[in-house]
Amino acid sequence: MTSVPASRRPSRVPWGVIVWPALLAFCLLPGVLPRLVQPLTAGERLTFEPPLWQLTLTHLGLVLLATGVVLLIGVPLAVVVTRPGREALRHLTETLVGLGQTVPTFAVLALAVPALGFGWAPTLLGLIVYGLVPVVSNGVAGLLSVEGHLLDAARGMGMSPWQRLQRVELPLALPVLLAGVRTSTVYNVGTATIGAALGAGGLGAPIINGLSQQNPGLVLVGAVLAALLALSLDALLGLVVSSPLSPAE
Amino acid sequence: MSVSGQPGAGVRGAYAPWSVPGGTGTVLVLATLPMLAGTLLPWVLLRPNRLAPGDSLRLPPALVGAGLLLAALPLLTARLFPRLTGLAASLAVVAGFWALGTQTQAAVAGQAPFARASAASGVWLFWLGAGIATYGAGLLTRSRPERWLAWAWGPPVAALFLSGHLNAWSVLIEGRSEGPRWVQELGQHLRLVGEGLGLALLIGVPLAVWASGRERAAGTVLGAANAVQTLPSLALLGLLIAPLSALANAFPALRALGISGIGVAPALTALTLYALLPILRNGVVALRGVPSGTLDAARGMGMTPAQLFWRVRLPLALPVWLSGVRQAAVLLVGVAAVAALIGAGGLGTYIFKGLQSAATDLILLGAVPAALLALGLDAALRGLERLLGRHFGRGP
Amino acid sequence: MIELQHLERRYGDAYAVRDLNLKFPEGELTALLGPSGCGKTTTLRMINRLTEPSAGRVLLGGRDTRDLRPEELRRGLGYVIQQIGLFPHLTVAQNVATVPELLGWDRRRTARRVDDLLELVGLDPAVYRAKKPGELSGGQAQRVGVARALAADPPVLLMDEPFGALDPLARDRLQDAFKDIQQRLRKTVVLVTHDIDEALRLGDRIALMHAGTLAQFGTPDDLIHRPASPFVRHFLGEDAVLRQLAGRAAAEFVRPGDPAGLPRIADTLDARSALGVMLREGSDALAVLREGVPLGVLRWDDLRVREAQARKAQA
Repeated sequence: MTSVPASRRPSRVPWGVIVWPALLAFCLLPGVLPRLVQPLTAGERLTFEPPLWQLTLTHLGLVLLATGVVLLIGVPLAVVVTRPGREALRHLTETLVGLGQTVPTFAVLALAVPALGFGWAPTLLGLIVYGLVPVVSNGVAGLLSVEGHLLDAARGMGMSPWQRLQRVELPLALPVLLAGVRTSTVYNVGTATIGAALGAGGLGAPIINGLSQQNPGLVLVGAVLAALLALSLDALLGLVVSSPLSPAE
Repeated sequence: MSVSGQPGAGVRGAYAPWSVPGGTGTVLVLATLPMLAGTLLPWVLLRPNRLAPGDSLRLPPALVGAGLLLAALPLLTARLFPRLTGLAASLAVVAGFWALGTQTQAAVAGQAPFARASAASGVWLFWLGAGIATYGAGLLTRSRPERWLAWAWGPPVAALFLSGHLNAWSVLIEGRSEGPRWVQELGQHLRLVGEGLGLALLIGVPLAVWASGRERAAGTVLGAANAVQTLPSLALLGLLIAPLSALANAFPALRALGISGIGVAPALTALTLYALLPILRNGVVALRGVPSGTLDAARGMGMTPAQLFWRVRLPLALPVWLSGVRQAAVLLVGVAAVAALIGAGGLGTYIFKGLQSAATDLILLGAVPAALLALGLDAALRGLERLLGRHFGRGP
Repeated sequence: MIELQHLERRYGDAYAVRDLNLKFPEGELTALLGPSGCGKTTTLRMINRLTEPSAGRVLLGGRDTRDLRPEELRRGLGYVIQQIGLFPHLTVAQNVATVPELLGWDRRRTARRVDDLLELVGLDPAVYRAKKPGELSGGQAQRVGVARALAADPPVLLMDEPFGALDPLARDRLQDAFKDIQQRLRKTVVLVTHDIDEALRLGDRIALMHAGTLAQFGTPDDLIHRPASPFVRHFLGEDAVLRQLAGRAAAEFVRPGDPAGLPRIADTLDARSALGVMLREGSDALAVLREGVPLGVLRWDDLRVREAQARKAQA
């Protein structure tokens, strides 16, 4: 899932940044969504306990926490395995990342339950494992794409390995790395809905409840909110990813 | 530029006289640690029945000693006889299965028939380490005929399964009792994936060909496919319920055809939509990526548009396109597992059942085959890509 | 200034450089010339320890370079490479300021230095300071590359095919500009090149290498007129004299005289082209003008003396 930053014209106004979060906020206003899905629920007015905004916050918190941990683990990992003389570690990492990409998400989440029990813990673990995939693979790809002659010039100017990493390699790998963070975060919004089956709460809860109660309205509420959350995060992160790199002072 | 002054791979010389990727030693150390830890941790979890909490049992001292030795063996072999590292790693894998068999047998011996002995954390860690060791051995010997030794564990492990040595393992007990139903769900899973992929190909291939020639259509198609991908699979399944059940309510004829809000119909629709993205994206990108010089040359030779497509554009685009089909197939194995929630059946049924009743063995019965299915499908389609890539003279 | 003693670099059984002894004179430009694979780049990289020698040592101002930390050593040696290697994420000014920053110069001093250097290499600081490398032409980028190497005012400049990736016109202009800069700064320069014309044009001295060893070390005149071996003569080619003339300005051969009635040339014209003008005009003398003002007379004999010398040496 090596995603490449989408080439966007900077002149284009990123409408998504305004539209999606605004729609999300509108849907979270008390009573708005239940009224909208009323035709699907046989006239019954849905009430939510805990309230929808709280489910959304739980969901968002789970995703952002996972992204934070993924950054803390993934970036150093990508740096460590791309140092010269560690090709074997890089191969191993790439193979594991490939496995993570291939093994179904739901299987990863379910397999975490025996180890961690029910609740948010296995979901968080699954989100971290799954979220690491694009961050590590993009981080490795970004760091490897730094051209040899630039490193040669940096070495020739007397930069230490740490200075080369900090001043040359990381800034140049940053766009690709951030694209990976964006992919990881947005996909995890979807993955986290499945976490409701593991008792993690969040926006998957109304979906699962609706499916088991055969109530399409309930499903729609969760699905719409999850989709809007994913689109909002995608647009917001797109703002960071596509912005021109600020010159390092 | 003359030869650059990069120091050679670190492991060279210390382990093997041939060229080995740097850091292979570290990989083998990373393999040893989980194996050591696994040997010392609980090996078997014994429960009076399949749902009750149970006791952790450790390996007997003699086996702990043997386990520690086996854990260190790949690393030692790599130092002393690097060519045989694959054999040492395979030995560790087989030993892990063998010890699981003996320990589960010993645990359930004399217990009530409902007692279940399952693999505890130690086994999983030991397998993890042994797996990394076979990987490290593969790297160490990858330019040599001995690399096949890293796969030597295959036949003995198969023999352990077939001989009934592992029959006391709770997952296999569960599997035997599910027996034909499990095979049926596996078949249903494969059918969901196959049909979803087939429908997506039927729609996606012509659509990609049509869109690849049109700048704006290509943008729209890709944008739409991307938007579908942003939707969580669970949300998409849920969203399809409403329109499909509305359709079924409005046209009873459709309901007679089996279309309703839940079941196979929304699952197949969702699977098809999901598979469309990689197929469309890679198809459009690959078809548009054919160098214009090549197309010019072909036109210059007097090819008709049809000949141009069948003889030049399609063969050149095929490897990239196929990798999109592979991504779609792998993705579908996962989405199909989730689709069990809306009554579509498949291996996901066991995962949800296991989650609902907190039965780990049922979860494993669904999740492990689903994972293996995805990996197998990935490997098979990769092989196909390589074959076709070679056939058309373009490596993947 | 820089002295190589029994310097060697092996890769397995193969020698890239073998028992090399060489003294680069202070304040002069020495061209390390030779065919590809002769070990010239390896030699250069052993000076700043981007490649570690297998044997022998490098003395810098009398000090063994192994006694310094590699980073410390490199910060004191300017380094210019063929691929230029400007950092694409930094502006021109930030690129030039790299080494001063590594050395911990204060901001104002660095900024002033950057402007001075951009002016030195012929780029208007106000225009180029804030540009990114992607916005520069090849020639402009390598000007920045030279400025970056000179930033901390190192006494030594190591250049690895610095003009090799430029188109002929840009290369010509940059060689002129660099010759000019070197005349002012008088750095000790080691310039690796496979281009004979470049070596003749820029080098105060030439070290010609062959298969990892030194074939000849001397002034361009030495190499042309007193080749030490058939390899040297063969490498420089039969037209070495003309090539050398092409590398020198007509003004260098001017002697005082009466320019009246003679065909006129500008003093910036190279000597070889001047020879061509004489043949075309059928005249054995030319008037050389600097910005329209007569400088003196260039005579056929003065150019021929060198040819005669060369023939004598080759015979």
